[in-house]
Amino acid sequence: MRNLFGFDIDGLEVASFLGSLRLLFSALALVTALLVARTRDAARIGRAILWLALAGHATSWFATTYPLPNLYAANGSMDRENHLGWANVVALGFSPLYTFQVNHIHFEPVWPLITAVLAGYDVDRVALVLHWASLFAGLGLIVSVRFVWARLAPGDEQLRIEAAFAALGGVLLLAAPGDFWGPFRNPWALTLLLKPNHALGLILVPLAALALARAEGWKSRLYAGFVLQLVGWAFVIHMALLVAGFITFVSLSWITKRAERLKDFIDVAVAVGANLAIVSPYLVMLLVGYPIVHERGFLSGPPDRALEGTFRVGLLLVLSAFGAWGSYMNGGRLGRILSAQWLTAQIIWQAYPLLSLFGMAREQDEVLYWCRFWTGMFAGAGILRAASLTLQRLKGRSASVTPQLGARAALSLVLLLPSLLPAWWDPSTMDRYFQTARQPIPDWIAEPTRFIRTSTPKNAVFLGDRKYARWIAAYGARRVLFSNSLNAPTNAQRRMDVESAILHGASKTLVIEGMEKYELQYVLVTGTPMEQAPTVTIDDLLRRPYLQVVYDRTFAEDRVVILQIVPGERLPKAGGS
Amino acid sequence: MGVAEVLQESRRLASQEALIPALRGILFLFGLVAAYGWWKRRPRVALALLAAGGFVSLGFWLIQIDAPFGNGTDVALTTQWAQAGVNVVAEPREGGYVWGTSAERSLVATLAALGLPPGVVFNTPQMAALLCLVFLALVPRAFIRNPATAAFAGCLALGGGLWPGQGPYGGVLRRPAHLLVVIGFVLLAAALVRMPRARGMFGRWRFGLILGLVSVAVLGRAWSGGAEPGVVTALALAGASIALTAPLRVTVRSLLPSSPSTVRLLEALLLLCTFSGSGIFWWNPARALPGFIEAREGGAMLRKPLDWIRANVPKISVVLASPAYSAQIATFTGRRVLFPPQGDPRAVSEPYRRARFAESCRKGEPIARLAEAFSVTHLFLGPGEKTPPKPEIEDTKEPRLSLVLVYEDVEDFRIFVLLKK
Repeated sequence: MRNLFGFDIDGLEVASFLGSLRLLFSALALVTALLVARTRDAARIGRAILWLALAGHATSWFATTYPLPNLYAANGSMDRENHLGWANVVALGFSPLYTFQVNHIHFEPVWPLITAVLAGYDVDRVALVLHWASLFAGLGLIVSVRFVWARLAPGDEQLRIEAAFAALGGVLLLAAPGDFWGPFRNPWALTLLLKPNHALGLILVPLAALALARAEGWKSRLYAGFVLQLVGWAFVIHMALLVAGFITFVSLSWITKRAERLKDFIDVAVAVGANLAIVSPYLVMLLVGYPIVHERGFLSGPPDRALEGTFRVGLLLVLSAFGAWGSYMNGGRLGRILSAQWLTAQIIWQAYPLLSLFGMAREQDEVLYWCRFWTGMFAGAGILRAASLTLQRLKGRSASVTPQLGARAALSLVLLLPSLLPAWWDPSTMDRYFQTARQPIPDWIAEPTRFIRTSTPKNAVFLGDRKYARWIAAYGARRVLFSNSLNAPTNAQRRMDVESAILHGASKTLVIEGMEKYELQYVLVTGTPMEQAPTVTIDDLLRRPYLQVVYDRTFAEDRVVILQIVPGERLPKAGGS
Repeated sequence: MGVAEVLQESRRLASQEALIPALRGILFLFGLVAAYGWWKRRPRVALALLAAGGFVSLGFWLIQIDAPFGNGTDVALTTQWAQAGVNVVAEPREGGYVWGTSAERSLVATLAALGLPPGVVFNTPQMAALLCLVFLALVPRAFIRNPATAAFAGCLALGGGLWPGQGPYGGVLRRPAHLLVVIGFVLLAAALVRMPRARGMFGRWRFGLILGLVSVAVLGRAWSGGAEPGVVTALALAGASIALTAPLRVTVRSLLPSSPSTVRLLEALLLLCTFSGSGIFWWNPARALPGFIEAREGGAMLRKPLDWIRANVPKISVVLASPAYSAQIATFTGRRVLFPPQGDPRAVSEPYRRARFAESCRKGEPIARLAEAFSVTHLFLGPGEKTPPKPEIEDTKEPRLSLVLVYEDVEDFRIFVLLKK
């Protein structure tokens, strides 16, 4: 068994491997603390912390992905398999505006396009791109936060260090040790490893905040709107949450900054307006392709979920509040914008029980991860400020000496260390996606999809088992008529008629429509009855004259049959639709 | 309703998943009221309330444990429990739970050997967890002179300290002896701190101590892995939290130097947040602690045949059973067994003679000489294990015993006594 790095992992002692990486990071962090404690140069200290943050994410990513023979979360996560399927069909040359359900408008079109471009439009490289994307997404997020934070109050020496701590916290404090058995599991793994497109949204978020903070005239306001719409294309929920934070920023400005409130209002209004104008085609796609206004969301879980986003991180919540307060008071306009995001994230999360009453408590996991991102980022900054204050106070008692920046940074780093993800992350016990991805893909999925990938035309579209459909797209790299892993297309009824006609042999017109309009070429069924046609058996399909068996194999778990739709005389006699 | 029924009913109630959010709600209320108490200058009340919250949380989970923790799921713990069981009942007292081996040393085995009742011995991990809670709540008083700061430190430490989700209670359940070792060290340190010179050193090296404790905890956790920290890791973090308490209060005071009431409010908020993010607040051993589910479900199927052995087999007897059952027999009946359990790496003496004797029993004609040498009087068979046939031809070379069925149940457990023909 080989992993995606190309190394044999059959004899790998996973527990020792993971333990070694945790030890390596912990030792590295302690050595970094020792080194920065003796340093007076703020820039060097900031760089050391930044490198540690980058090393921390890289270590955890390596620990989680190296022991896997598959892509992380393959063989277990529907989201991962959907992403693979989306990217595969774009890499095959189909439009990024459609999902792997043929002609189904996409609701996240950018990421599959980026993946396909990075893969050089080669389907065989898509998994590899997703694999490495999760590393670079985390590194990018660290760099982005560091870049933006350093511009809070230029000239402040401590700010360089604080920026590095904020970047460290934004990624490595995303998760708490007990998250793995909670309803939302580990936010770091589920954002950065599982959904790099969401991470891309996070990377753009601080840049959008910076663009708004720098908005002066119309040109820069429009530029802020442009950056904001990039967030929307990357992940629209982040855009919505960011806009909510901007509204809080204006509201706080209205209350506390009388001199600036009008400017703040105009800046935000123009930026958000420009954003909506640019991103509107996508919003239309979203409304058409995704049942955003029809689906309702209720808090499905227990009432203690309100504590998950906030109190679960314990003292880090207090530190983040402290950090946000400090940024609001001393961080200039950018500081106020970022602090408003922290406040909004907490408010939205706490409002969820209320939103649930109106059926609007949707995408809870994403909002929790958003909340944790801001909490982690400000906790990173907050601990440095708290450590500075403590050392200053204690030193001030004995001698009026300002404690060194290095001592503050070292103390902060060591105090954060037990909560930093790479120091405690044990995916073998804490991550079920890791556990499932350690297993090879079951033969009844792997072998038929290998056949599909190698022996069917690239434009082939499948119908039949809707549960199997996502594996056809993810591992077979072909499109399907219906997949129960995606929302139903708008013309679902017509598709169902076509599907029914082929499965039941009812209407020649509909079968021809299916072949022409949806490019249907194959039917894939398993021994498990199809949810949309439970009475149709494999034997029934084998008797249809227009279906020709091209693959039929019985595995220990199930039988998988692939039938090719043969055009021409053999089609059903009955006409009409 | 007797005590046993009340316990059983409580176990049934507490093991319902739907009650966990209610528990969290109650704990949050404890945290809120304690924070209010702190704000209103009632530090001891705050400490007592948080300790009571901790007790409720631990009680909720610990009451669900119905069998010795780790028995059957962790090789080391399984052998410890087996030895403890034998130490409680078997004659002679010396020797291991497997016939012919030396005694296994462990905390529970020692407690059993000291003559403590089985109810106490088998609940040692649960009692250690409760002791840990009391210890963490009270130990700051031994190091910190200011009663309010000591109470504040106790409030922070009892949940596992300042770091979210890092409680010692899972580790204590698995390794109760480690808690005693740590307590020993801490008491020694507490005695040292009474000396003015040592106290001065503690003041000077406070941050060094904190950094040392955090480093030990981080490296310990990194090394051991798993979903829960070990005892030493978690207690090192609790210790660092205690040492950090005074500087933390200084920081809070320096934020708002002119308003004592606001300072207390801020401290109260800090207590609430720390408790609500602590390991004890979010503890869910059913998900995070290997062996908890098994300890909760106990071994109901085995209970009846093991009760029969306890009531009917002499204390000096050795029971012949397959490795799958030998630890359970030793633990719950206190009778020695001939073979060690699965996964026990210990080497036993005379392996060939043992195997020969087991084979003779499997054939239905136990060798009398070996039965006497090993003191084996009973054969235990579980579901799926074949009943020995009745020998048709008498072996005249060596005297044999006969197997007489003395116990059988619907689960297909069978017990035979070895009798002279």
